[in-house]
Parts: sequence; structure tokens; C-alpha cells
Amino acid sequence: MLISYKWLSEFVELPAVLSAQEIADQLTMGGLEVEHCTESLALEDKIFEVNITPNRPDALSHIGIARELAALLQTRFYAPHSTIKESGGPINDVAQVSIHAKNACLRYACRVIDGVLVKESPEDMRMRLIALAIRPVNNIVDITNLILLERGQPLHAFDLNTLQKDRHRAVINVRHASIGETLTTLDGKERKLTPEDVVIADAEYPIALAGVMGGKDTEVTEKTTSVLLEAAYFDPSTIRKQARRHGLSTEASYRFERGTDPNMVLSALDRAADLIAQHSGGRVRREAIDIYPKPVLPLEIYVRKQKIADVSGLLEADLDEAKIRARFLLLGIETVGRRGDALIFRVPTFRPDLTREIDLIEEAMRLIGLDKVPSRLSFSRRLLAADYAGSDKYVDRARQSLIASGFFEAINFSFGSLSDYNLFKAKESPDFIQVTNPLGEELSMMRQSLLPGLLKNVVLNMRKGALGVHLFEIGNVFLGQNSYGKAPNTSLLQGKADQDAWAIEQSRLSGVSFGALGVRSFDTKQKNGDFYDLKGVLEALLVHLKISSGCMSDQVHFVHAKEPSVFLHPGVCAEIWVKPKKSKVDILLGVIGEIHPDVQAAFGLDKPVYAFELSMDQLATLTKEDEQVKPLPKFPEITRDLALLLDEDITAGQLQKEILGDKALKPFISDLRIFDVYKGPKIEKGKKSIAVSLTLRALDRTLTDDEIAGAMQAMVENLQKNLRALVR
Amino acid sequence: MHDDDLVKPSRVKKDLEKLRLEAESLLKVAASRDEVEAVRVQSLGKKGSISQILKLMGQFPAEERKELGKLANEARDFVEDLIAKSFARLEKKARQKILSGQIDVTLPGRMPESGSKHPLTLTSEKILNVLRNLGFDLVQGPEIEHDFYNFEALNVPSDHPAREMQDTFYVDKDVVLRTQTSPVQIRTMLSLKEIPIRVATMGRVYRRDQDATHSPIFHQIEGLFVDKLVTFADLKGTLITFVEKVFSKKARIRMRPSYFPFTEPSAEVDMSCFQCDGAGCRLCKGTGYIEILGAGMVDPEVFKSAGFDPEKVSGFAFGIGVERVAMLKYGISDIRHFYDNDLRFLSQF
Ligand SMILES: [Zn+2]
Repeated sequence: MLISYKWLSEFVELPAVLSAQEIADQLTMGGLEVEHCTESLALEDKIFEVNITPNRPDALSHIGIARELAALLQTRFYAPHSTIKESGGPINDVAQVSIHAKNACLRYACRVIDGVLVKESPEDMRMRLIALAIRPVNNIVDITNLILLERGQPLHAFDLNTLQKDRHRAVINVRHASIGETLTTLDGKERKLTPEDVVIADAEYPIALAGVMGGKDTEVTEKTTSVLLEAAYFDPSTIRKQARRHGLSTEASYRFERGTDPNMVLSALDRAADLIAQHSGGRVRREAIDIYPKPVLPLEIYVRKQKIADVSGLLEADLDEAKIRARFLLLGIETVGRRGDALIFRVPTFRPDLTREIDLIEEAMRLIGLDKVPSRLSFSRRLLAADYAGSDKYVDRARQSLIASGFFEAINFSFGSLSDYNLFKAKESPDFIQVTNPLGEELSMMRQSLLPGLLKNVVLNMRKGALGVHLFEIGNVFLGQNSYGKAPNTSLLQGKADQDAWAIEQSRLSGVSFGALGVRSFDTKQKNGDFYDLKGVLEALLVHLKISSGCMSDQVHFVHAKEPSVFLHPGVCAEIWVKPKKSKVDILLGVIGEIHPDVQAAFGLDKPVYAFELSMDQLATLTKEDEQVKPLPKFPEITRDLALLLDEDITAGQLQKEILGDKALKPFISDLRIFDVYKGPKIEKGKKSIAVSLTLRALDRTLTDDEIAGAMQAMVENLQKNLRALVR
Repeated sequence: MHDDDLVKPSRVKKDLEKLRLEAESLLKVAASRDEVEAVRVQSLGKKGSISQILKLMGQFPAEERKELGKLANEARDFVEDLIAKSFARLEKKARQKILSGQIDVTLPGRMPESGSKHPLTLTSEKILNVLRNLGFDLVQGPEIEHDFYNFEALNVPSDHPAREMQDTFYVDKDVVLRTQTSPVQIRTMLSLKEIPIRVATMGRVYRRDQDATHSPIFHQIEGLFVDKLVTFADLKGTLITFVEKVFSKKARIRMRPSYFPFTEPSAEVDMSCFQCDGAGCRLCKGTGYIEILGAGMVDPEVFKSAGFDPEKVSGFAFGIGVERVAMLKYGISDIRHFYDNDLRFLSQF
């Protein structure tokens, strides 16, 4: 809201020692934040732009801000008063009002001004409106806007002669619209009305959308000679709903939906009518019509003095009762009684935000100043510091591992476009959760994989000239709706805050690897990463999280996926299965592979991209902390290399499993490494050669050459029998 | 050495001469200390040539023995001298080799390529570590949220004007992308049911807003403390400690009354500008202060929604925007940098 400093000073005594900026600072520290203070040279004025929180409709006017300043600065507030000169016949001769929508309209008042001359407003009034961002229209409309800015009461002027009459009297009826009715509002738009809408109607047609905007047909024009001036109090929720329904937000609806003062209606009406008469040469008819069947009374609120101390932590000296009462009085809050420790305050109806004891305690603290509240940290002695080795430590270990492997952490939006995500969606996966009011189609689907976002990052970086792009992200995916009903069910929250979620949300750790990888230097060339590079990164990660014990691990298995994910190359993809200790059930940790060439092409990438996606929940359950160390070996180790000729379709995994499972050798193997794989002209077609290096050692003695030779021989025979492997 | 028992003195002389020549030629080409040492053992050692020759001396008459002895000693001295010189020569060569082995130390090293954490991760880790040390346990809640947890239970009924403070994304009727992390407060209170509660939560929140300083997705961290007789003074003490630990020991805070539907009283918390220390600069737009947090005492209505009696417990809550802190800390002017994942940006952290 824009506030004129000059105008403000008509309603409050501003200490001469304070500059406009200092006054603005006082408002800011009082909770009415002045965002800008700009100088208007033409008006020799300063304009404040004040951010008013939605709980303070009373501050949406110059009078409201002035009252606030008086309380903050403890100076005088000059309450405005209205005088009115009436002449001519009573209003009842020319107008009648009835309220049918009684819940929506609690008060409706109007006056009639005859003999008006509609023209341009005087220069100073127009300048003031322009400075406060209101477009001047004519002397009648401008005055209604001026009173709105002065007092916060929206007003509307109708051309009396355009209203449909009943027995020579213009009819005003506050009612719900009927099906099929329309109204062309002042902005020229024809609006279809529904019975939910509350309108001001004349004897026949709607003439205004109540509390929001008037109608075009009844607006004040240069032809107007008589004006019917409306001031009313509408139910905030009703106005809010119909403003939303019609996509309209006006100065009037903005105030009505936050709550105006029902008891200000008449004084604002009189003040406006009087000003209109003065500026247009018109006469205000005798009497006002004022339908106000159930007057809204000020609330009386009990405030326990002990409670003020308990909430605020303020010191006794700052809680002086007389001081608080005096400050409250400047805000119009009177002390009307006392019961025991409690004081009884009467809260004026322009403060709809003050309905409870706590609201008045906040008000007291605001006026005393939050800087007066002492600082205390006594509570910390009662609880120990939280456990740092808490549940999320594995997340940090995962991050550190990937970073050490050359990966940068990315953070992407949780929503994207359908076309991006469809490439990643298997037939049986759940339907996308769709944002009903997205910022655009490209931000409308809740993600089911982190990979589309990461691939987009690869594209961006490739375009910027990056030779290698290696990224990972940790974030949630959204896999459809949870099964247990649509409505919240708080009884599901047993000890865990994340239960009772509407959607199935899973945390994922995903990564992509594209292009150049490894050390780059003056004498070594970087090579493009491939599947085994990324697999190695994952293996290192699993070692860091103590899920795997390295290349000897029999807990982790990379299995060629039988039904590969649609976004992965069918030949270059694997599922990662983990067999936890003391468990017979293998857990699927995630997938790794080359992005399908079709997807790669769809993203416009010129080189293969390798990717993985893991379940963070599974990582969390599988990660182990602080394992006991193994004793260092006391006896020497012996290495034996072995080159084997195998059928091409025998996998390294099969060979490894066979060797590690060998009865004779098993107790001695402390390490197994594959150091060469060969296919080519030097060996038979349909065959390949795999060379392994075995490290052997006994825990209790030095192995002899004979012992090893025997065991190796037995193993080779087994390999020959089970895998048709031959020693080369 | 010889087949026949009778060895002539002339033969011994010849042998000594041969020994000298052999040692001389071997030492001349010896390329290592080991080779020199081998010559010494062969010529002068206990089982070496000289010892063998001297063993034969017994059979000669005294005069010849004397002469031959002299010759043998000369030969030994000669070889010993040569060996010493050879060692010296090798030593000198080794020194020279070390001195000549200079490389271009200015060539770049073979640096292992490593990545980095996202600046938002670094920032939230810093904040969460401080909260942990203040005793706040970490809790989590879903990002797609029932209207009930996101608004209703937080004292924002459906037609409340406060809903306009946050433009909301919907995915279904009464189902929203959470606009704040505050629903986790409700969830925590409902799930724990016992005091004291001291928790922090961190996560993504969503608002329908997009420009250089607003992202439709951003991250919030929130703290909640509920116990008996918690006052605004405790909130202040916590925030002062928090700001000192996250930013700097010199940082001061300033609290301005404000409005959040779920706290009463509510305050905006400003921190003294860490660039100018309150004097006023471009970062703080000349005010000396930077808006950093929202905070307040938990509203009685919120306690009621969460199953607590507001007459028996009290508490405070505060929230901070991770992006905002990161932008201030690292001098980032456009929030979109966080989500582009441009390596030229990420690699600076
Ligand atoms: Zn500054």
C-alpha cells in the first residue's frame, strides 16, 4: 500500500526531530514494513510503500497507519470526524434498499446526492491519487477513491437515473445472482453469474458484483445528475471467493476480503457524500439509508498478566500494567475491567485480527518492542546435543564417495515435461502425478526418475563445451498415489513424521557419466568413460558404505537385466542385487547401464551416456557403520596367475563364482583379480581368454608349493568339468 | 692354482703382475659399488688371489721370500689404491647424475579429477550442523502434502487471506506441493505426542513464482522446539546463537514484528550485514541489516491441531531459506544458477 507522508501528518502528530526515513523505520520496526520511501518532487511529499500483512486490514488506509504511528511514537492521533450538510427531500422518496443475501452483507448504507456536475477533479486531488497509483476518473469517482485511501472503506457511486425503479423509487437489492444472469463490469467484460455470486441489483438487473466491481451500465458519467453512493460491509470469505471466481482483484475486494470495519460504514459514507456535494455543486438528500440488522459489537478479551510474562519472557520492569494500558488506548483498545490477575480489554471492530488472549499479548510485545525481550538459552541444558551419527550420515558418505570419483552434485526441479519423462517410463509404472496449475507444460509432471533432469544438464554442459560431464543427484521421485485413501489420517503418524503421505515418494541417488574421464595431463590422454568406469564408481561407493567388501565381495551382484528398463541399452545394463548378511532375500538396489541410443538421440547427445539410479532407502538399510577390523595375516601370501580359455558366453561372474566356491582352494583365497580378457585372432573362434591372479594364504601356517600345486590342479579340473575351461 | 708342487719365484712374480693388471682393467670399467667390491674380494679377500699367492711363499728361501713379500705388498697397495679411487670415481658419478636429473617442476601435475557438493548442500549442511549442536534432531516429511498439514492445521483455513502470501501448486483437490516445511511441525507433534520436542527439518518447498530471485522450487530449513514454559526469550537466545554459528561471531540480530498464521507473536529476523557490519553497503541496500529468518511462538491453534494443550505447553519455530543464505554467502545474484547445474558454476564449490 502506498502512503503519502504529508497526508499522514494530517492525522498524527509527527515529532519534528524525526525525518521521513526515521518515521518509516519506526513503522518497519513496528511490523508494518516500509519497503521503499520515495520522494515526490511535484507534491513536495514522500511516498512510503508499506508491506501490510494479511492480518492487518485496518492498516490499509492513511488513518490506520496514522493510528499505528501514534501508538508506536506515543504521540497524538487526530481521529477524523464527519460533518454533513443535508438539504432537500428524504432519501426514501427516491431509493429503497433490501438485503436478501443476509450472510454475505451485514450492513448496507447509501446516500443520494442530487444536482451534481460531473467533471474533472481539482489538480491537487488528481495529483495525490496519481502519486498513490490510482487513476483519476472524475470528481465523483475520485472522491470515493480518496475516502478509500483515507479510511479504508470502499465506496461505490451509481448513476441514480440509470437504476430500474419500483413505484418511482430506485431499487437496491443485495441478493444472489440467478442462473443465466450476466453483468458487464466497469472493465468492459461481460461476466456470467451463478447463484454463488452475490450482486447488488436494481429492480431488475445486477448492477454490481458485490464488494468487487460495479457495472458498466450504471456508472457515473458526464450525463449523471444524481448519484446513489454505497457503503457496505461484506463478509470477507464471500468476497474473497467471488473475486477469485471472476479472476478479479480490486482495491475494494482486497480490503473487503481482509475485513473492513462494519462500524465505519456510515461515517465514511457521510464524509464522501459531503465532499462530493462540495466538489460537484450537488446537494445531499436528507437522511441515509442504513440497513444493519445485527450490529457487530467490540470483543472483550481477558489477558492474564502472568501469561504475558510466560509467552514473552519480558522482564518485570517492561511489563508495567499502566504503560501497556496507555499504549493500547492509543490503538483504540480500552481497558474495561479486571478479574483476578486478568485485565479485560475491549477491542475495536476495525481490528478483526485481535480475537484471543495471545493476539493481545503479541500486540503488547509489539508495542513494547521485541528488542526489549532478553535472550535466553537456558533450555539447552535440559537436552543433549542431537546425535550427529544420525540417520542421514550415509547420505554424506555416498556424496563424498561420488565426489572423490569426479562427480559433481546437481540439483534439478522435481517436475518436468511429459515428453522428457515418457522416454523413461515403463508400461507398468504408475501414472504421473500432474500439477493442475503448472507454470507451463515443461514443468507439469512430477518426476519418476532423476535421470531426465541429469541428462538435460549433460546437454547444457556439452553445449557449453564440456568434454566430460559427470553428475549425481539425490532427490525424491513421485510414484503415484498412496493406497490408503485421499483424506489425511493423522492416526497413521506413529512415531514417524513422514507417514500419511498422499503420494508414494521415494528418495533416489542417480548419476550420469558422459565423455572424458580420469586424469588429464601433458603426457596422458583422457579416454571416454564406459560402462566399466561407471561400474567402478558404483563399486567404490558400495565399498565406502561398507555394503561391499571390494572385488571379492559375494554380497553384491551385477546381473544382466532380463527385462531392462526402457531407457537403458538392452545389451549394456545390469541390475544391482545385494544379499545382506543374515538374510536370504536379495535386495534390488538399482540399475546401471548405457542410456538407450534412442534416448541418447532424443536428447541430442553425440556420445553414449552411462547412468545409474539407486534407491536411497535401500542404501540406508544396507549401509553399515563401524565394522570390526580383521586381524592382520601372520603368514606370507603367494600369488598364482592362471589364463583360461573359455566359451564366449561364459561370464566373468560365472568364472569368479566357480573359483571362489572351489572346495580345495576356498579357505586360502584372499584376493582374486581379473587382469586380462582377450578375444581375437590368437585364439579359437567362439572362445575367449580370461586371466586371473589369485592371492593365496593360510591363516595358521605358511603354505607349501606342493600344497598349492595340488589345490590349483584340483580347481583347474573342476573348472574344466563345470565351465569347460582349459588352461592356456 | 697350479698342478705341480714346485712353483718358481718367477711364476709368483708373474702372478702378482697378472693380478695387478686384472684388477686394473676390471676396476676401470666397474660401474657400481658392487662390482668394485667384487674385485676387492677377488683380489684381496681371505680367499682372494693375493692370499693364495702368499700361501705359496713358505716354500721359498728367506731372501726370495723377502723380495716376493715386498712385491706382494706393493701389489696389494696398488690394488687397494685403485679400489679407493674407483669408489671415489663412482661416488662422483652418482653425485653428477643426481645433479643432472633436474625436471621441469612447472609442468602441471597429474591431478585426480574430483567433483564437489552442490552449494545448496554445503549451505544446508552448515545450517543443520549448527542446529544439531543446539540439540535439534532431523525429521522429514513428504513434498506432496495434504491441504490439512500444509494449511488447515497451521491455522490457515481455506478462504484465509494468508493463502495469498504463497501461491500454491495443486496436484489434486486439497493436495498441494507443500509451500513450506512447516507441515513437518504438525506431523512431528502428532507423531511424537510427548515433550520436549526439538526437531529440525530440511527440504524442498514449492511456490508458483519464477524470476531472478524466485524459483518455483526452493529449500527451507525449519526448527521447532516445544516444552513447558518456553518463551520468546528462548527463541531469541536460540536465534542469536544460530546466526553467530552459521554466519559470524560478530553477527547481531534484530527482530521485527510480523505475521505468520502459525506463530503468534511472529517476527522477521534481520541480521547485521556481514559485509559492512551494519554500516550500510550495496548488499544490505544501505540498511545495515539483511532479512534472514522468519520466527515466532507456536500459535495456540496450531497446538490444538497437533493434539497439545496450549495452556500446558509452549514453543517456538523458525524457518530459513537455504537459497537465500547461499546467495548471500557466495554472492550469487540469480537463483536459477542453482538449478542449471552448469559445471562452470558447480566446480567453484
Ligand atoms: Zn551491508
